[in-house]
Amino acid sequence: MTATATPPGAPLDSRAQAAARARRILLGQHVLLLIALILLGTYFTSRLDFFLTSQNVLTILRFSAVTFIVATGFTLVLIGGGLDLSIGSGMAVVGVTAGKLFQAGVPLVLAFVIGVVVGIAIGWVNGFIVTRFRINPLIATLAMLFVLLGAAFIITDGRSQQIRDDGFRFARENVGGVPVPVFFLIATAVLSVVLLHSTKVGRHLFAVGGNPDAARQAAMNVDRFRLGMYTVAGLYTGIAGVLLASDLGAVAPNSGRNWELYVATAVFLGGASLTGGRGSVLGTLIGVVFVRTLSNGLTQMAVRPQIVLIVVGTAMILAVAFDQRPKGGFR
Amino acid sequence: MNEHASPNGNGSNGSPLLQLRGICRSFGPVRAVHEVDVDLHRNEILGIVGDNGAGKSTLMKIIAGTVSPDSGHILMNGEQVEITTAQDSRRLGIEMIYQDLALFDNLDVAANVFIGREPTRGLPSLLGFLERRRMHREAAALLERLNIMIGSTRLPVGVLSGGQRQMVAIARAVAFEENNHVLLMDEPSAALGATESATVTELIRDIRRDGLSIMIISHRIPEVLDLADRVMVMKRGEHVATLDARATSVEECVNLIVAGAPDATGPA
Repeated sequence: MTATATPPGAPLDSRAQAAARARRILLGQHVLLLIALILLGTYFTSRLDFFLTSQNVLTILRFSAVTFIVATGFTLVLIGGGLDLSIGSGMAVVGVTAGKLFQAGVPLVLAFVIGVVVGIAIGWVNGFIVTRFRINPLIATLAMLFVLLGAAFIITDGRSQQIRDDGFRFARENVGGVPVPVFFLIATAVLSVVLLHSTKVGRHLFAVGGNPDAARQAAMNVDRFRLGMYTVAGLYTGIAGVLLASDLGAVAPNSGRNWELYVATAVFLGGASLTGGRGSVLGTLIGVVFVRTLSNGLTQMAVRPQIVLIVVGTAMILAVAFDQRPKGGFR
Repeated sequence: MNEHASPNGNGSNGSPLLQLRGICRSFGPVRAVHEVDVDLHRNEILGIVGDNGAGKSTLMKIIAGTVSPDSGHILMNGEQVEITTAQDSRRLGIEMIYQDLALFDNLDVAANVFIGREPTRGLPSLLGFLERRRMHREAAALLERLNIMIGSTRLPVGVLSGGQRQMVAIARAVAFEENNHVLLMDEPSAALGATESATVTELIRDIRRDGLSIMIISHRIPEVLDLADRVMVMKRGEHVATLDARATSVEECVNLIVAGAPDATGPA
């Protein structure tokens, strides 16, 4: 017998495990992005007197909150191997539905709840199209972007209207000096972190996105996961859409314009990948704050909005290029 | 090479663990598997060789439940069993390692070992909380017991070498041993270099010693003859012959693979 031909297993002690963990954390994209965020903040602070004031920081956080909520849904979809370009239009439909219902006399809370339900339904339809008709999610949700945009204009007859009601504008309130949307941000973050990183369903979502064939062999129902993840993303779109309408204090069919850009840039900066199976709530949070800080600072430096679009778009390209960088560097 | 520990030899005592009888499967006009009988004995390593398209993988997938046969039946411990899904075969204690290994590169070693069978607590089923520490601890113990050298169970599988990946796939397949009886392996050493291939071979011997019965598809005839107790030769979907691995030679195997044989030596 040659049972002892192989040497005993390598040490699997806690020190090796801790070292591997430390290495991953230090070299992770989150830390690099956080450093970039600090550098960006330092630059703006040095150029702008107003930048590092509590009022401006809270403004950035308020904008970040709504973006983060919808971006978290976007992250879930990417992790599961999908894509959702319809988020901006979806938020617009949710917002104008809630706003129109409120104007028609529906009680405030009910109008908001129906808005969220509409968001869930939109997500389910996205998932249904992708899983049932086997349409590439890029195409399916690009089509939905325009379907929903058209719907938002039809619901409002193409007009934007102010809603002057303090209840409807609850997202503009502060509680204990903190904008209301920030509380939604915290709740979304905690729930999503737990769901994604601590539960079996979250683990399986990573599996389904990372290797769908292997997931099927491990007896997972890939289509049901995808339908579920689009539906949950729809819930996030619903909450974000209601908060956006409330923050704007208006029904505005074009209120979701350019949101795809900010959200996708933030999420890709945060380390999620189009190839599926990668992404994290924390990365998305840092990415969102980065993008919102960037646009806030540039806007205060009187950079034209069109230039801001170019800068953010370029940041998205750089984020994806960094993510796909070959090991030996670019040639 | 006389140290092959094969308590039940060539089935001279005890009934076979797994028996296939008259298995047929066609894909359109192609007869992938035709009237194949196979016996797999307890604690045996059975090699399956044959040219591309000989029906080896299809046969294995039929046992694993991912391909259903057109006709024929399967017996386990002498009793007929229905295997129509992968869950069926898994319930019977049959695990298959596919050629692509079906690993999740984005998940760590422990997550791969436990995928689909994660221990949880708290809420029921999919909403349950993962017992991460326990998974890492048990995965590390499993790797250590199998002499698998991987620095940490927290490494993503994507960064491992080909041999390490193969070994994680094997570890996953045997992780829940009390239920496991049969391990099916499709080309375990196809993509490996010589050293890694030898390590994987050693691991396969180890898990056989733990009591598993193993079927291995391979193109590397010398390796199969070294590792297996018996070798089954297939050609154009038919079972050509079954040879005693110690009594045959590479030449004889290759001849059978290429030419087939008129007188098959009966069911394996």
